[in-house]
Amino acid sequence: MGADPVAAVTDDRPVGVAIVDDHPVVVEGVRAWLATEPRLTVLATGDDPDAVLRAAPDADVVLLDLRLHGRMALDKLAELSAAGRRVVVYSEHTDPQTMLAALDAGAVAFLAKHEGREHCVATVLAAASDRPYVPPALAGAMVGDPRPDRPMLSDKEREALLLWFQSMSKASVARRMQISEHTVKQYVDRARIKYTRAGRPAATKAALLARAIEDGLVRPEEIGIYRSQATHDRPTP
Amino acid sequence: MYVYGTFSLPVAVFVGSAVVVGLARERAAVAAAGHAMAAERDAAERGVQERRDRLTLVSSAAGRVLAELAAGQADPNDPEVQRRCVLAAARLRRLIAESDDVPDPLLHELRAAADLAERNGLPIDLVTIGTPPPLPVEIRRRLADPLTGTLADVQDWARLTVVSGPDEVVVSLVTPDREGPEATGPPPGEHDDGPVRYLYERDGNIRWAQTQWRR
Repeated sequence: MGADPVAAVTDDRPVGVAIVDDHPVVVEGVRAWLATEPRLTVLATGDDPDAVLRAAPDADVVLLDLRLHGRMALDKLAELSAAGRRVVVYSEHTDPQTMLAALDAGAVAFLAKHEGREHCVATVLAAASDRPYVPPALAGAMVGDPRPDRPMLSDKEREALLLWFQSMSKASVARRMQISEHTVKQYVDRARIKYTRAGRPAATKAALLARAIEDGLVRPEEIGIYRSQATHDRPTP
Repeated sequence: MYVYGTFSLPVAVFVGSAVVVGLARERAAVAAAGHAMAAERDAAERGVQERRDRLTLVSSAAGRVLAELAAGQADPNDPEVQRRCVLAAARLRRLIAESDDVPDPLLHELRAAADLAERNGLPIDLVTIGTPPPLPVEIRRRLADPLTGTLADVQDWARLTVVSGPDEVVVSLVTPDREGPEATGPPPGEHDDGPVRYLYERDGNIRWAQTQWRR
């Protein structure tokens, strides 16, 4: 990669972000984080996803606090994702089940609230261009996924996820695995792309997958959507 | 005569069987009591042995530094002595946690170590993913000890992670790499200690200690 991750989306206009959170102090904090990045602009904020999106229908990325007014907004997340909204979930609930459920519901990325500014900015920028970004906490949830129908990850992908989760430093992972940082990122991102096949389909998952294929990150047959044309006309036995 | 002839045998058999059953019950009760006693003795002996083992570990962990302090040979202001005390406290804390009866003993022991480090003023993250399978105490010691030993030397921050599956447990400790001596614990590189693999390295940016158990 190495290319500017948002080049495709921005061209000349910055990425529009909508923030949905029921704690004003968090909204202000996130707004301040995003303000350090000139390629991002916050269009609307509020505690009701529908109202926020009415105020900013063109938002490229929605930052959604998963717990709104005391209840988990997983169904809202699924609804937005199905409609093609790029939702980055950020939450203080970092138990692996919640993270995986958010991915299944179609979230482009999951960010733990304690993961800080760099991860937040990087995640939003990547999400805007339908590219994966896997912060360490999410990598941990993926590598420890106990579900029987979890995506099949390769040994290298698992190792990269595990070491990234442990060290939070791609440079250290690269040194440890004796590969380049770029390759570490590829392994991690490929694992994430495999998760677009888990759970119910969503427009955002399709977009992530399409972009990954376009970028050459994965080949269609690697994630099990290869269908041989030869079997097409064969009658079923 | 007829009555005698008809009833003598069944009555004799009945009486005989009743006596046999009574004797058998008595024997069984005696045997059960004997076994229970033997089992109790075995358990007690094993308990004593475990306590003795732990005591050996405790004396190697804390005995010498305490004795030196008591004898006035060690100066409490000496940073090296302070470091040894912290290390001994970490080992003791883990040994105490080891005999607690809790659902996830490994996590409990690591939490105890993290608690202690935190109380000594070290910001530490402990993140666990999955539930470790039941592991014998020996394996748990090999998984936790090298890392809790390293933890005693850390000052700025630490990140302790545990990722568990049914056949694998990986514990990792990442801390900033500062100038200074090698951390306490086995030397850098990879070591196989039975079913537990230990890996330690520093790259100028972070120090990375990892123990990994595989079934």
